[in-house]
Amino acid sequence: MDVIVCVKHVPDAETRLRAASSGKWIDPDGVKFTVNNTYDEAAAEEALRLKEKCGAKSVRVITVGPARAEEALRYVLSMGADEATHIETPPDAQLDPLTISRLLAGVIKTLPHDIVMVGKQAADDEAGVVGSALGALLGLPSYAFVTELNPDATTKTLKMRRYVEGGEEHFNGPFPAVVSLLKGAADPRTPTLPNILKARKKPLTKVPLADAQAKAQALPGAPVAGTVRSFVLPPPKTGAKMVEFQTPEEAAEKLVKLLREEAKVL
Amino acid sequence: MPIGFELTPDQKELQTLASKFAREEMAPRASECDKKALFPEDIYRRAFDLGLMNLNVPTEYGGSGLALLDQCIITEELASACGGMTTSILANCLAIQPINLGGSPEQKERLLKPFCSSYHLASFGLTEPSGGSDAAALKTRAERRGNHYVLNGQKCFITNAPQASLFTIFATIDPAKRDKGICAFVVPRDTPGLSIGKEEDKMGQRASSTATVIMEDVKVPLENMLGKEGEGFRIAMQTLDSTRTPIGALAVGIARAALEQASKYSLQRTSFGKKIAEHQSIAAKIANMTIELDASRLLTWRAAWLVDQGHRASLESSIAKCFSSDAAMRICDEAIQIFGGYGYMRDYPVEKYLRDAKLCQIYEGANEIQRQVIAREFLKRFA
Amino acid sequence: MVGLLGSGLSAAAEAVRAYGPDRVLVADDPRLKAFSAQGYSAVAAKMLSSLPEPRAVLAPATAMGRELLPRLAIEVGGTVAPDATDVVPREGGGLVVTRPVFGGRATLVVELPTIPCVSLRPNAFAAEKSPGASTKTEPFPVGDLPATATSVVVEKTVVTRGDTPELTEAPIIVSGGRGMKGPENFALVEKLARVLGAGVGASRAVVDAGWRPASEQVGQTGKTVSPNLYVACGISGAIQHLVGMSSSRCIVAINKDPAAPIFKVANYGVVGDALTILPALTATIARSKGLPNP
Repeated sequence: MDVIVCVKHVPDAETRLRAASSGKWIDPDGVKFTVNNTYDEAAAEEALRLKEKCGAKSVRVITVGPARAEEALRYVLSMGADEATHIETPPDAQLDPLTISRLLAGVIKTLPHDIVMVGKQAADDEAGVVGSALGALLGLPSYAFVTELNPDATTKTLKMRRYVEGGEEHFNGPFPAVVSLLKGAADPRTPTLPNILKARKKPLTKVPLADAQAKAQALPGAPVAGTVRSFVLPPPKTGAKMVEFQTPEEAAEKLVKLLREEAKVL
Repeated sequence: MPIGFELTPDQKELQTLASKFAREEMAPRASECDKKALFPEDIYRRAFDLGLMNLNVPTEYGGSGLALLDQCIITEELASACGGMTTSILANCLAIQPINLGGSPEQKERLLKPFCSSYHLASFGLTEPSGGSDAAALKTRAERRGNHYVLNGQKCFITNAPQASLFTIFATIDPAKRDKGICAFVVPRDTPGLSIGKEEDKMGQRASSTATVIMEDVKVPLENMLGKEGEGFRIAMQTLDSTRTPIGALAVGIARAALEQASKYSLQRTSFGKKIAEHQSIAAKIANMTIELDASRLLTWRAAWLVDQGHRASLESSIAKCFSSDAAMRICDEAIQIFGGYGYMRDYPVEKYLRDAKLCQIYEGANEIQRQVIAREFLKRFA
Repeated sequence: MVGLLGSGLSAAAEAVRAYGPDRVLVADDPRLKAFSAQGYSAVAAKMLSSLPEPRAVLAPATAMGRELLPRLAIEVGGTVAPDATDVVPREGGGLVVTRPVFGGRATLVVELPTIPCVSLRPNAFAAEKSPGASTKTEPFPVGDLPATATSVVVEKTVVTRGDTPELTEAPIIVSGGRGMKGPENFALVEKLARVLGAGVGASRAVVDAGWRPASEQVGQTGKTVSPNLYVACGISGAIQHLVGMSSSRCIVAINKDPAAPIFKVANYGVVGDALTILPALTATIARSKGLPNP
């Protein structure tokens, strides 16, 4: 069995965000990037556990991103993946999640794959598109919001659990497939220093963007994509809007109205 | 190799590992371990499991075999979470370095391999109650009797002594011979006659343990002597030469944490209608702290780089250790000042940084000794 | 046009009719009982192709909605954006979508050419019933389904109650401080959290006092969180707490002391006793969500 895990190199959750002068994304200058965001790291962990559980032949980690994204690949190699593939984009490329999916699918199609793992969503654009888009592009079933999976190699069936609103479903589905993981069964392992040193010798293949684009041409669907109009950071806070009230009930009513209609957080 | 100031991807990877461990596992326990003087053995075990402990031991003997610059990068990250824990984690490097430097291949195979294959702590025993800086004047006696030596004496302020399973002990066959009489021994904890005194109650670095090692007729077989009779002093000095630079990195880590806390606070706290960071006197403090931190780190990296290139770098490693630890004290002091009254309170982390940083001026060669070395090495050029 | 997909949909179809759509297509088929992106998108694509000029596809940003749309977008040659908080028509066709990114710390405005497939953040859009709506539901024949869809089998569904999300991932956090007066009053915080589907947080003071477990501590020595909504109840706002939560998208502070520093970082402030405000807030939110008041 061959397992592929897709990851994204994203700003660290604690990084202070500033808008780029283009006004379309963050300014990457001075930002600390990482792969250990909740979802991708969990997907990598689960991919490695699949290998340990079912003796998968190899775990390959793949990413689309600028040169710095190699760090993400090396991190997963240090966790224990066997090989890495880097689809390298220009440093300032701002790619729609569907475009990223097409680049990944074009390259994955040329590689052996029984299970393709992705995290529920990237920690930056939070699109959560790649999993089921890859399914469609590769002609495979896809399962999302998965919290547990156990493959049965003889029946080619995955026994899974997934999050649904208000609960959890225990379900089965066939593979080869793409699995989008909400969270893993175990905490992601931390690469140990000896494993980091070992990972330096593992193969890391670079795929130039043009090659990946050429491979993506044969995929189903049209290469249309959204374009970013603007990226907006909220202005610094200037003190609270105070809710005036006579009774606690009035305070509650007014507050809920503000949260729903003005702040749009409910 | 040309000079470069950007970390390589390999170095960044080590930095990420150490910083994750520091942030996620060390930092949350730092305050508690400091207040209660707890020795968080689970954290040290975890450091071992991650390969963060025996950084200087060659890979063939089960260590990580890292370059000194790599060690410094890791040390800074760890120390930014807790100086005391970092000292305990680094203590193994110090204790084992005499075996790396003075041990025969047979000794390394016999002593290092089992030691590094699972979690163990080791202690470096040089300092004595009567004096630390004048190492040639040590009083612990080693008497040859047939196929073993008998050790008698005391070593004090020994890091990790209460938990260590192995000690490297320096003793003299004849005090009159000064440095020429000193020998280095490897002594397992369970050797009869070796006992540990009361644990010290320290000002800072309280997550690390410190105690006296007492030796009463401790029999050490000949095969546990490192090098020949009289080579102990050279082994001790070379050991300190190579571990001095990481102490600079440790000070950088503590100072960095202090500067980060002070910077965040200065942007949150307001007085006279603006953020205190916008007051010139506070901004100047932040600027000076930044300058000193940057210089400390660069000096440390340079010393490590020189050692990695095969130079002895006594001058540069002394400069790095001395400057970084002095600067750390100034930076931590200013951090407290920026926090004002809060900085003086134990609920806030900055006063701990000051107490932790202080030790960096004292151990592994007090800064007075470093200055002697610096002056001596520099003046050689004119002699 | 509303498309309903699933099995046993008559009640849902009735409910949808009340909002007065022009048409309701109901793909009610036992083979759709188990959700699969491959099965549902095949049917949804078929529904779209039955329409003369489909302009956009909207779905709720639930687990299923978010999983379905990317696949549908590829099948119909369209575009996709999840979790929209605002949607307006785009010149030349398609939609302009606003959606939160970076855990709600920023927003992205994206232009989606046709056919845009957009999931909508729950509660971000008001749904209004249209009394007297006379829309008829139309059955939609499902036809063939891909084998990978029909072989998805749900073995059981477990309903989890009071499942509080991991604090650092929680989209909403209700946090309590000293102003809660005692550990027993944290039931009020927990009840509000339950109706909001929120995580429960705490200030350092109450963790140190042993009222709450350390896992709930938000702040410098605890967790750093940036939810969409952070409700600080009886928390004065010590600096070490603020650095752990001030990047939250929207902060509500409930505190008796109008001079409490928490009001400086809050978006909305209620000067009052959290012990009396919280039950009213819980009741109001429960009522608006159609939940029982806990």
